[in-house]
Amino acid sequence: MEASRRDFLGVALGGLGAIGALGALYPIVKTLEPSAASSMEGRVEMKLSEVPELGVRVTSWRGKPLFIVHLPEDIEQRFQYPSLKAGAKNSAGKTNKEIIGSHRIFALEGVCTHLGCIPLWKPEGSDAVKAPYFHCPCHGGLYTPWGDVIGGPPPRPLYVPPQKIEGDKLIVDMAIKDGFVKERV
Amino acid sequence: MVQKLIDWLDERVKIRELYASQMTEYKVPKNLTFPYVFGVLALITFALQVISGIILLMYYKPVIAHAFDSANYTIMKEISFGWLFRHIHAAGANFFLAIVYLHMFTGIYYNAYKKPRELVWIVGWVIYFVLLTTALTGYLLPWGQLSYWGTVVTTEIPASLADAPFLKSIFAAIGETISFWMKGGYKLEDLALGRFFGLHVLFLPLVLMALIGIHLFLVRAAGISNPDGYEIDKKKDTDKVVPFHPYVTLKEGAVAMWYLAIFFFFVFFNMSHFLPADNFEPADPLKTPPHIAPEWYLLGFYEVFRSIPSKFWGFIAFNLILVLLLLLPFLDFSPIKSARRRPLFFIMFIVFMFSSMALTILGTMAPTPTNAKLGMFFTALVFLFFLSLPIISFIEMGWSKIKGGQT
Repeated sequence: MEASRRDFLGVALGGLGAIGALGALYPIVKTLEPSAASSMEGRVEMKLSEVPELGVRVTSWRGKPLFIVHLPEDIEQRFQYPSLKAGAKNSAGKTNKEIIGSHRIFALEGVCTHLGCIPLWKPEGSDAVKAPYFHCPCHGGLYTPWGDVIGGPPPRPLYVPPQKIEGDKLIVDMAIKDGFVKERV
Repeated sequence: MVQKLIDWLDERVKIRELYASQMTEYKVPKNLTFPYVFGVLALITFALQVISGIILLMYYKPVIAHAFDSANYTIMKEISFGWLFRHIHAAGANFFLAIVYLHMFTGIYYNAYKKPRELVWIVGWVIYFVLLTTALTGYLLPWGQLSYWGTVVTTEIPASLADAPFLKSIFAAIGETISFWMKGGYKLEDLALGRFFGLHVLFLPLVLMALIGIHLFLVRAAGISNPDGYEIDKKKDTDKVVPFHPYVTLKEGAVAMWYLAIFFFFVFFNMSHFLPADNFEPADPLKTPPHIAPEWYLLGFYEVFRSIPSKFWGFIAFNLILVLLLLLPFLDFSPIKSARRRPLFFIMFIVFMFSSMALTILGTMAPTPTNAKLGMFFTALVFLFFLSLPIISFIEMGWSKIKGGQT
């Protein structure tokens, strides 16, 4: 009798203690989760009318620069681009242009895929590339306005985030599943 | 697997021997009463304070431009469960002192400060003093109105020495210097906040941890006192002792669960006393809040200070009470232990406990002339308790001689 009562006490206390320890661990781990403010940084909404034609708006998405590019409808007729760097394909094994297609307003992550610098937008072109393009100032990476590599060391095109057009807005969010870009490539 | 790990440890550090000597073969009196659990409850509360404090420390900013917002926005709203840890820390501070007071009253009642346990009491007193300092320094950190004005008043208290009836200029200089050094200037600003922060989060907790370790070691070295006040020879009186584990661990474990249940009831459902509304207003050095009084654990001392008409003597009186508490083992030199066997001591203990509680309650009330008189009366009773101890000791030494030196 005496022994079994003690066993009961031991199990009851040990069990309560274990539940309590788990209960304590849960909020302690939860305090370390990303803040509500940082989860807001996971979504960008940009009014289409706020991006001028042949212009790039730079904003921030998940702590990185995000380029919202607005190209003229006839860009492919007006300008000729050098051939793309061989093998420089995005995560889907395609070029960015194949994914973005005929969309003229779209978002690209503004981080050079070589070593993480922020490329510059050259709407006037230059002597070497007689068309609007992105130029990375660090090691001379060259990208088309769709982010495909046309020169320099970058191994792959600029990342394209999941995005869609809703009403008069371009929305960028990892949660987008029904946009013209469905996953980050 | 576990067995192998224990074997591995045992070969190197003799862990089984350690466990046996500290748990299963460590004997305690079997007549320990309920109040003996307060020590372990205090230890649990200390652990709660350390864990919740570490989490708060990650997000709190000890700069006055950000202190209030970091406590009330970042911690309370932005961080998941940040509010929970602030609630635990704020309620824990109050529970900690409440438990320590109960622990002290228990020690006084059972005369646990007497030979061979004088050092246990003295180290315990230092823990109490450091704990009060920790509470005071932590109180400033949220930088609300109460934090700020509570600290202003606290840092003014040493300046009461300027009221001395003799050696006025020396006392005034000492008081002003203490007050000035507490604040790091004339005003409470970043310097004060920074040093209060450093003391509160690192220095004082480290000191507390060391002192608690010493306190526990001393308790084990001298053995736990027992309610009847007889020293037990653990080798001879085997029928009067039980092993620490499982007897005490299970009993105290069960009480600890009840204690935590009550504690978390307050944390989740009743925090308004521990985080008063006034402190959710940022500190304003040009506006004193309408109600400003110390936290309840200081009200007894505050009432002693406030009810004595001279600030100097008020200051001396409440500090003297602290010193007399420290000297308790030497004031009470009677060979007889435990209030159970000491009717005169029992009466004075009741007087002391009742007066302390009365002073605390008076501290919450308006300082009317009647209340000031009552305050003086109960202050006198507290001093009477301390002064009666040597007298009772002399009388009891006589009794003990009549009984042939038996204690």
